[in-house]
Amino acid sequence: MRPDRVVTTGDIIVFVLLLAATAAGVAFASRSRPAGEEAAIEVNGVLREKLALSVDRLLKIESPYGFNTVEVSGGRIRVREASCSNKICAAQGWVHRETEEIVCLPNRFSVRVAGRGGEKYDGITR
Amino acid sequence: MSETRLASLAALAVVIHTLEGMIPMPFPWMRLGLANIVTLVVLALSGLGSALMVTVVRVVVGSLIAGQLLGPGFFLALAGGTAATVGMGLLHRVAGGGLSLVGVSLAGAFLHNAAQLAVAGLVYTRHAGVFYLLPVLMGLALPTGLVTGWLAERVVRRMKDDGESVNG
Repeated sequence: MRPDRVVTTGDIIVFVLLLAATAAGVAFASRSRPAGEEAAIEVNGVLREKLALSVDRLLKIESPYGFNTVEVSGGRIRVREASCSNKICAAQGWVHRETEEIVCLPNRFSVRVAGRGGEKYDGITR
Repeated sequence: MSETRLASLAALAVVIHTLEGMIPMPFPWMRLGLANIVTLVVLALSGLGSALMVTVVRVVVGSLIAGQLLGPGFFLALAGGTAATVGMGLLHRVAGGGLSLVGVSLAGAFLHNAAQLAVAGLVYTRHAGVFYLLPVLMGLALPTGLVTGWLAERVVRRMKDDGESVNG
């Protein structure tokens, strides 16, 4: 058997650099996305409701495709119940950060969290 | 490396790619990238041109088998595959003996995921939220790149021990 040293110093340097890049990415992603102020609910691409995340409430959205019951609580929003077959929307749980989104494809239903005044910009750099 | 051998390896890549698609994953787009082992081996033994050929054949034939040819998944795979292969080829050439296939594979896994996300975000979804997946994908590239690179390095060493000509 030959000495089986596979990993070189260069490999370790690459690994550490990429690990640092990942950590920086995680830090940036969690810091750059503030908590949202409101949630826009769309059915089939048409805006149905805008809910302020500061006001706790329970709302059933009905359409020809089915119903989704959304719950706002403590600045977060989730789909609590849905008529769809797979319940992926309900399983996703709570969302509260800007641009976070819950989608229910069978019901053509979506909830998107936005900052105050909706999304005028994709992002802001200072 | 003879054309026959290259074609056999490309076919092997297609087989691994297809079998890998059957492994259940928490997300349908998640892959271990085991087919990349073949790309890495060909890269080390025969250079960037051959490796690129293997990648393109793998993506085209693999998508054909999966019934996804010319669908979004096909273009994502093609973008990720070519970006990773070209990047790995250049890195392999520049770094020389400084990097084993482990380091090359790690960088390739990163490039693969970044290129896929760029295409997904800019062409398909046009939704800024997609780019928040980048750190997740970067994190996933670390273990998969490490494992595939290590396996590829072992395969290349074994092939050289068995008398495979390096540039033939």
